[in-house]
Amino acid sequence: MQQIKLFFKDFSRLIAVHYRENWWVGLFAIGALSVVTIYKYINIINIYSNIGWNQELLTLFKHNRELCTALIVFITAVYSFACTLKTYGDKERIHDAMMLPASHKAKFFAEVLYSLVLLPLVMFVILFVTDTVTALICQNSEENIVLINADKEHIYSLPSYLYAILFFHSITTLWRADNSHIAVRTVVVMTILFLAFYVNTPLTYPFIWSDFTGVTREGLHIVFNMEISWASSELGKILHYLIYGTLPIMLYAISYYKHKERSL
Amino acid sequence: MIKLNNLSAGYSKRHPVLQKLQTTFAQGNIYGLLGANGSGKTTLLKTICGVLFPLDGEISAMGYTPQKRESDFLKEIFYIPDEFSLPTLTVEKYVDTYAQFRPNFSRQKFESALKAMNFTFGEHLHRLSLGNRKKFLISFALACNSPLVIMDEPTNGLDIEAKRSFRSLLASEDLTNRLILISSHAVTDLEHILSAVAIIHDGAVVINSTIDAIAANIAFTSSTNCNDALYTDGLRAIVKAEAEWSDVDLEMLYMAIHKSKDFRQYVIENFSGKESVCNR
Repeated sequence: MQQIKLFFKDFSRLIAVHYRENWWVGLFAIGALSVVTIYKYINIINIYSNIGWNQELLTLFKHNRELCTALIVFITAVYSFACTLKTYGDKERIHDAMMLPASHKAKFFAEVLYSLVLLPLVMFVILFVTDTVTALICQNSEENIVLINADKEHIYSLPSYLYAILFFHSITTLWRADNSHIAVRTVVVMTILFLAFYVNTPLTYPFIWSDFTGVTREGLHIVFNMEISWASSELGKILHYLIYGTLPIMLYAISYYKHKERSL
Repeated sequence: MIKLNNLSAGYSKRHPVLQKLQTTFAQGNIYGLLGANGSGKTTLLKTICGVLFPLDGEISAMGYTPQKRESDFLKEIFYIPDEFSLPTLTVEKYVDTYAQFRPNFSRQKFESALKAMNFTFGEHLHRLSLGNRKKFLISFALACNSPLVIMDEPTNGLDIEAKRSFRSLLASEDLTNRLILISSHAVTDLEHILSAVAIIHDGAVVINSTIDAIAANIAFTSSTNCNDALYTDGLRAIVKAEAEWSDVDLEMLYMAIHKSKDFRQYVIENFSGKESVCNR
């Protein structure tokens, strides 16, 4: 109990240290995304008010979402790298993080929280809000809203984007932590996994696996099962969960190297 | 308090900077770690802190293994590197942010140390000059009241007045159950405040002894009419202390160890294994 208490104490202090020193970076990142998102959606509203609802607008909606999601991932990746590399690149500040009296676990979870969770979460909230408001403004039928809301690329793409972020995060971290040979191995293993399991195809995501049961408008009960790889549906699921399940473990290993690294 | 057991340290196993060090640094002392440029002072300090991992052998600091960098160990140690920068914060915000990690931090001590060092307030820390950054971090380190304080070249960049203040601040420190380890090649900056000294030469700690023990064994005298000198530079000489008692001339001791093989041998024979006398 005492350990858990200490962990949370360290954890909250580390978060405070991060935001006291870097609040403006987060704000800038969110600001940049907000500007782009709002600009893109104003464009949609303009088209809607000039020519009304059409298929082109629906496609534009989809593209905007993809663009904004990609931007969120890009910003998160940059932010995450910046946080990871903050003390690595700066010999004069490396000792700050290393010698700060907090546990490795607290240091690791604080870093994951502020770089890989909080920032993308805030940005996705912004995207969802803008999205919903625009959809409400542009609605001309219930059907269109259903269509727009069914197109949740930003959710579908999350696992692969997270995978990409962690991919680069791990390489950079390991490389900078004087473990270049481990970094190279990580690259090879992750590339093989990426190619083997088509992680960039939405249908293979474990969260929206293509097994589907439902009732059509005509009242027919259907069971949809799509074979998408050499693995069976169940094995595929297990493997995907394994891959995504090992990501946090891998990140923990990376963090271990980072916080226990030698001097640069 | 710090025990090195066959410790080899450095950046490459093939060419370790320090080899098979076997010594202890006892608490209750202000230790001066002296050595030439590149002799391994910083390497040793970093290894004691756990920033560098030992290449071979063992190290124990206050009962902890430094390279594990456990939270409890980090709370008991404060390391001031030779070169460092400070975050984009004001003094107040820095203290609010970082002092909470230090259980024994005294704000009053911090403020009086800053005042004694003539620190210039009112700027963001990252914009401070090297001297002011040093003043700030030294004050913060002393205010943390950590049992183990390690300073790497702390007087680099300090002006004459600040060096004097630094010495008087250190002299007024309560050293009960504490150890302050300072590395420097500016010997004169540390004279009269050190209670013990360790000198590194050729990757080994040649001497590790209290100033009192050194003064009891050797004397520093004028080289005229001195036939049995252990070392002489033409003006002054080091002789065996018999009837004479003199202040320890650290600069001369350092030079003698670096220049004279015979003197080094004498020191190794007469001082090695006597680290226990460092206990106050």
